[in-house]
Amino acid sequence: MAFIPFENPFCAPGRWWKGNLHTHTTVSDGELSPAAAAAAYRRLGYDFLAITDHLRVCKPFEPPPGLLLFYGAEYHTFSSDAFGLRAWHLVCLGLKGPVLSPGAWSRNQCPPLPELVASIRENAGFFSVAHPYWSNMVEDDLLIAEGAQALEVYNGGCEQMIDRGVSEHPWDYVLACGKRLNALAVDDMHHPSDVGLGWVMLRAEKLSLDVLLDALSKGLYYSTTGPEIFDLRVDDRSTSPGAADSSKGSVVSVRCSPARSIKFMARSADGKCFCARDGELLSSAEYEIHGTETYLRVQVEDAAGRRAWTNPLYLEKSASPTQSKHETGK
Amino acid sequence: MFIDDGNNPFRAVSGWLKGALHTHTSESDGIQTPADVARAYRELGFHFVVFTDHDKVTRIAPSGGRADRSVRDVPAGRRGNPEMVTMSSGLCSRPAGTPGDFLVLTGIELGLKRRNPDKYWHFIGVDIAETPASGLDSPIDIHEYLRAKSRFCVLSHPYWSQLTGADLAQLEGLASVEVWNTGCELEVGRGCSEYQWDWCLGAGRRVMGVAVDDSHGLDDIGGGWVMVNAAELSAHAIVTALARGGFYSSCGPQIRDIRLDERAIRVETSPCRSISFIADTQQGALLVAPDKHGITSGVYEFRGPEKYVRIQCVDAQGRHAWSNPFYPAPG
Repeated sequence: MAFIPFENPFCAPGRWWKGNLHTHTTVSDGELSPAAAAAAYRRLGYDFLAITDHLRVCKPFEPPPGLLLFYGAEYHTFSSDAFGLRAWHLVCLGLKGPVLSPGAWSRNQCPPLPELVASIRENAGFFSVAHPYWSNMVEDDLLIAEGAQALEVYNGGCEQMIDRGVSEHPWDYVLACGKRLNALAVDDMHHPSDVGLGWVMLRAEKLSLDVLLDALSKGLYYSTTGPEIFDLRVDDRSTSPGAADSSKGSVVSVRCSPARSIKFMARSADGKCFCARDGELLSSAEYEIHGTETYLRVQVEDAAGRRAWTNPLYLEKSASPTQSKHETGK
Repeated sequence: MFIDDGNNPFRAVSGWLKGALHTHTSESDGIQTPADVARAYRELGFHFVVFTDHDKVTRIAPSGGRADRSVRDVPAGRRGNPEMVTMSSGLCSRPAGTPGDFLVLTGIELGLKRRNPDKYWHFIGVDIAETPASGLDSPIDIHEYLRAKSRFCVLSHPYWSQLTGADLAQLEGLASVEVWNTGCELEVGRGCSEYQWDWCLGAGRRVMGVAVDDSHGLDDIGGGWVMVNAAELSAHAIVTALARGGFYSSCGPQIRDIRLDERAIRVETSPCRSISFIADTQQGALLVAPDKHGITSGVYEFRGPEKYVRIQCVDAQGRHAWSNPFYPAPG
């Protein structure tokens, strides 16, 4: 096993910018006007905001000073099988041209999923799969979302409404299947009470659309509903490059704001959970690579139950894979 | 229309029994002996424990001797292990929940692994007397075997096993899944399988959820359990109650009452940070406590299209409790 070189936001130059990437306004079914939404986020100290109304891109307007605006959109369709319907909501940023024609959604019809995804891939600089738990997505569905750079591991609106905000399981499932996918925490803001529930901390040298979009695509961010992650390091103790198990013994360490648990999530029995003892909190944890991991992501939970998620690191399979020490397992 | 169909455990008049449905002993890969596992649970206030060792039915052995008979087959006063006699004496004739009573049920865990991606198909069967011969070489074979031999079987730890909701929904007649598994949570953070449970329910499968420890040592004992409303502390009464959904599951909070009529479902709980009514997608509600004192009740008015509604609450420590799903009456 060896670490695949990755863009580590905690080592990247620049500073952290706070943003929400899923926002509705009066352009579609949101309660606030675009200007009011922008003002609400700026008041909370956000540096950037993506306005992503359903099927419509909002007209550019003058944002409050210090706030950078993405003009994106959320496009939807459905797929179905014997078990029922899935609602595909794809949130697109960095649009270079129209996604299909407005007629594709006329008379309560939706475009076929492959056509929609193909058009999005052609026209969007970044797109994510919204709220899998709310959408009733089965984990395998995400494997066909070709080209998506992220899924929403947390969607504040879906949590507030019906407690279907957290979609960690489908993320781990597709990661275990070998797909590379990052994850976002977003508000999916429709009402003022949704503002500030979940956000991303994006690492970039300056606040410009191109730079932020590039950082998003590279995964230079972590997502959170409260906790801060200060550092994530890989101490790569590979001794002999190319040898099987060359990353064995390498250590991944994390530092964060006070946490009740720090989880290193990997496939099935790989990974490790560190839980604070009663009355105590954790501020760091270390995970020693044992050689069978294919991905590793860190998740932090604070005493109030709020969470933060790093994007995954990936490890390459060695030529002669070692047997998992937990092979017989549970 | 939702109605109280008689399976609501909170409408029953029997007693509540706290039970551990998934435990391992030194008879498979657990650390403690069967007697020590039973003692540890009893000291934590449990009323019963099910030994579910891998691939074998574990019985309480006479001290120093080999296991020979199922506990449930042995009259209370004639158990080989003196300690167990003390723990279980007279248990079958007393009302459920009498302090000091404790019961061990037999059970088993059977499983196999499938590749690409790795999926583990592990099931537990409760109150089962025989260890199967080999030859169960598919998930369906194992499930069918356990369904035939046990009145209550459970698909184990879907999150840890990397099973999807669709994997579960494809199992004909699946009675229940582990919505919580303490061992999987403490080891690798994969304890909670609400996502897959809801997917299955959304697909129209009527599946119950249980919280278990899957304990292998003393560290993972008492993290999740079922509260069973049973007529008495006997294997028959417990399994009968389990099979009809006469229980709720918890890692901490108490669900004290659930009432429903055609218009609404109401719940009362110990103090909680939130109470949610989880239904098929786009239905349901989340109630969040306004302050640190928490909330202890909630009401959800049915909107009409719900195919199921289940209740979930979370206490200040982040521990969950889960009711089983309620379904609309046919027609």
